[in-house]
Amino acid sequence: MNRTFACTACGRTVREDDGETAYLKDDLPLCRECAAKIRILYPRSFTWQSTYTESSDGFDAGSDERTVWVDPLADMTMEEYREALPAAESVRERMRAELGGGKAYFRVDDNKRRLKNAGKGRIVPSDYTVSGTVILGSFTAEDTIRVHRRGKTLTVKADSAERIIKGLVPKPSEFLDEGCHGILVFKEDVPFIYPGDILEICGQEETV
Amino acid sequence: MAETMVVRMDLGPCAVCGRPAFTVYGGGTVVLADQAPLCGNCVRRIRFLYPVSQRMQRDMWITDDALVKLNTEEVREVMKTAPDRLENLRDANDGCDAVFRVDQVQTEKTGLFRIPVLRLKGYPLYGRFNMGEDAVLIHEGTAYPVHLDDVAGGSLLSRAGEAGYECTLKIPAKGIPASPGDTVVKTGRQEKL
Ligand SMILES: [Zn+2]
Ligand SMILES: [Zn+2]
Repeated sequence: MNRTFACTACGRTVREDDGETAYLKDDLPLCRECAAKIRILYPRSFTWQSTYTESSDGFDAGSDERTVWVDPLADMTMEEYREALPAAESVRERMRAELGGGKAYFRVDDNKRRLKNAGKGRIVPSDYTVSGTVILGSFTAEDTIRVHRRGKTLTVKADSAERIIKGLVPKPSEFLDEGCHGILVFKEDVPFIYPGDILEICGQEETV
Repeated sequence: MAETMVVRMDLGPCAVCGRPAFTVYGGGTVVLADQAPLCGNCVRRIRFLYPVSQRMQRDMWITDDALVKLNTEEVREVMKTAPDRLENLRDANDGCDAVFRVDQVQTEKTGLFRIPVLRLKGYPLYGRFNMGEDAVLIHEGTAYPVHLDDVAGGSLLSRAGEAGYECTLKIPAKGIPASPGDTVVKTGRQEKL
């Protein structure tokens, strides 16, 4: 999609980025950066939706079930968006005081291994993935990840990062920003990362 | 005129994290004692403390889940203490990354000249066991390196076993003694860091 639009908040002309652009009430477009400013308070989330069509003569004319991303921004007016900016900032400050001085923080939902099709119906294990939400800040896959475990800190690096923009298929992404649902991909097992963990992300220069 | 109905397939927002709680497609939502839904992501954080079990009753499988007896406030409290309880469990297991308790052992013959397969049925107490990984079977105090040829019956289609859900680890039986009460552990990775 190559349509361009002027962001309702910052006025910049931006290209419509499939799935990344947010729309406020009455379809007012917001660029990704402007939407990201309040994602800490209004993250997108996904669920399943079923669509059932009944034809005029009462017959089932088809149904399907698919994932949908629910965006709370879609119900907001521009005024509500502006009011959310300082509210988001105060949440950010509170969380920074709670969590510490890391560049970003990522809450883990799951840690699992991918399977891939090796041909002839053979399924083989592949990369390890840690999925979750960026709860504060933003970062890239090159950054250092710290896992805090009672008195000790483990340091690891992801091999790449992905994010889910549409549907449930992740796409490689250079960065994961605040409020987004992201995936950290590892070639090696990271069995010490558990669901519910909050990973601290530090800049590259802090690598030990 | 054709009429289209669109229905959200979730039970509303999760009582703890607010995200849509769905049960379909492996969503894993649990409805708590106060009828509030707890989404699969929140359940996964505390499932190791409330393992799911199944039993046969008059030709029907009944699932017992102690988590459904808790209300939202109780779950919030459990979620607060869960990381410490997981650390205690890890300490009690020599810092292993994952621990599986063997409840049943079956030997499966796979062919006349082929190495039989041991099917170890049980529960991951914490951590995760994936198909294709190396692990260690602890039998009567002795450690035997094993390879997980497959993991069945855990989370849907993932070929993995996760904490709190019964699953079966399949390992080559050659020279491996195993009996109920043994453990299979994943070691090492954390120690190397
Ligand atoms: Zn903008
Ligand atoms: Zn939840």
